[in-house]
Amino acid sequence: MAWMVQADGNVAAAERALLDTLAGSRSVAERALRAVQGVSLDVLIPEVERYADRFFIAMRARTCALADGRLDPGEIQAFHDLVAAFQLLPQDVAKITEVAAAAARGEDSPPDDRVRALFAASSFVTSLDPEAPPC
Amino acid sequence: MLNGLGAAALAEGALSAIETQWAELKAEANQVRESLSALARDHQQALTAWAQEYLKIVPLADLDGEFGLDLVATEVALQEQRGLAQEELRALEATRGGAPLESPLDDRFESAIANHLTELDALRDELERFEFDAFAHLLAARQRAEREPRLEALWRFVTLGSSREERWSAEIEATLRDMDAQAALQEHHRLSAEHERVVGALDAVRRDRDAAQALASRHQAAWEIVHAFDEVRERTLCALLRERLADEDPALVTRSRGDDVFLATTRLVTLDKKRLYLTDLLGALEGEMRQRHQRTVELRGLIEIAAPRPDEVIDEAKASWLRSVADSCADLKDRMLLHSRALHHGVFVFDDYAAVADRRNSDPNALVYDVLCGLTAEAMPPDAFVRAVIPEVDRYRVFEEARE
Repeated sequence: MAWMVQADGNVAAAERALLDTLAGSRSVAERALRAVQGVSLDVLIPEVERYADRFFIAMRARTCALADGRLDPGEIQAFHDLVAAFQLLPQDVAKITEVAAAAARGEDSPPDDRVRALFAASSFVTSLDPEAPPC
Repeated sequence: MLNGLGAAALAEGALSAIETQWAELKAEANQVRESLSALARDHQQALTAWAQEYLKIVPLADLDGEFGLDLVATEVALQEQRGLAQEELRALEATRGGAPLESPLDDRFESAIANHLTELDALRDELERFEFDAFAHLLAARQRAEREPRLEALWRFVTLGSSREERWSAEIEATLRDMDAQAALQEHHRLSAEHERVVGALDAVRRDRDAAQALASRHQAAWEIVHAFDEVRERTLCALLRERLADEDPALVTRSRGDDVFLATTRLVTLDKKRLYLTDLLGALEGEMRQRHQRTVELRGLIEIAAPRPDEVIDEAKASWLRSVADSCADLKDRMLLHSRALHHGVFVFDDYAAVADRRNSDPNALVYDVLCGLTAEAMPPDAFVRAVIPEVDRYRVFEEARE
């Protein structure tokens, strides 16, 4: 998540706030950001062991790629490579594609049961800082 | 000589005439049915009157057998019920600190309910201005964030939710003009909380009102049992007597039970007979209608056979029947309607039950129809017609003839 936040070379205030929330504390978020600086995604991918984490990373990648309202061939190929590397299930890929397309149209797609189940299985469900109070 | 073409034409004419006769008979039958309905209502009233008179005159202990015991048991149960009601009344009045319970409900509940409803209307009017898509989306997202903050934060991040929220916020400000999105959410929250509070208060007032109404109903029931005991007793026992009457012949009640009981009994008996006579008359009218229906079936069958064979000569017997069937049916119908109307009217309008009581007193075995004929000024139909229509009259005549 820290890699995604700094991928464009700029950490926006909202992104930093999210990272702080997910990390459980500002200092843990800071450490995470430092750890991923200059590191290639190829290196990080094998470290994302949880399937659910991969789903959310792929979702963010797709919505960012569609942020300008269109996908160029390079973005399409990159997404396919990511999906293949993460070994995502076809129904989850379809869900990502559908939600990202809706987001590009400015439509809200509230989390459904599948998203909830993935969130519950992800590392985002608990704080990264074992000493942080529960949310 | 009548050929197929002529026969079909004759049959069409007869068919039309007989269908008209059927309609006339049906109209008369419907009027008899209406009279029977009116008599049924009169009979119910007469039953109640009979039971009331009976109860006044006959001591319960004098009633024979199981039914007498039933009535006595009911009387005892009513007395016990009165005792319990008196206790309940005392207890209810004690809960009110001795305040009168006759009118325990005043309009304070209704005015409080009306005030709350007015408040709710006003709140709904205020909430209405937030009913547009952008506000609904932002509100839903914020509510989700309250319920599942970590999931919603992640979901906003991975689906770029913040850009949508920025757009919704801009639309909200543009729509409302006098407040930004955050202020709108706060105001909506304040109004919703107030709405919820007023709905709760309204429910509480309604619960209080229902409780007060329940108390008033219990009080009313107990009060009625105690203060209207005689009326309740009469109503209950009358209901039992009326049930009893449904199985028994009230004609068995003699004048020895008292004039009023005898008169009420005579009225019941006469009404029963009037219903019997009109039911028989209705049966006769329906029989005539069935006959005409049968003729129309025969005529349609004949038309079906004759029409495709216009040149074929028709059998003389059939031709003769065809020429006369409508007229003979018309004669019978005219006679039926003439006498039926006389019988219907004479029986239905007769209401001198006191005279019938006097006549039955002097001659208990007299046929009610004869008593009625002797007392009414209406022109009744010939006896032969009445005997044909009302089996009871015919049996009585046969019995009289045999005795002579």
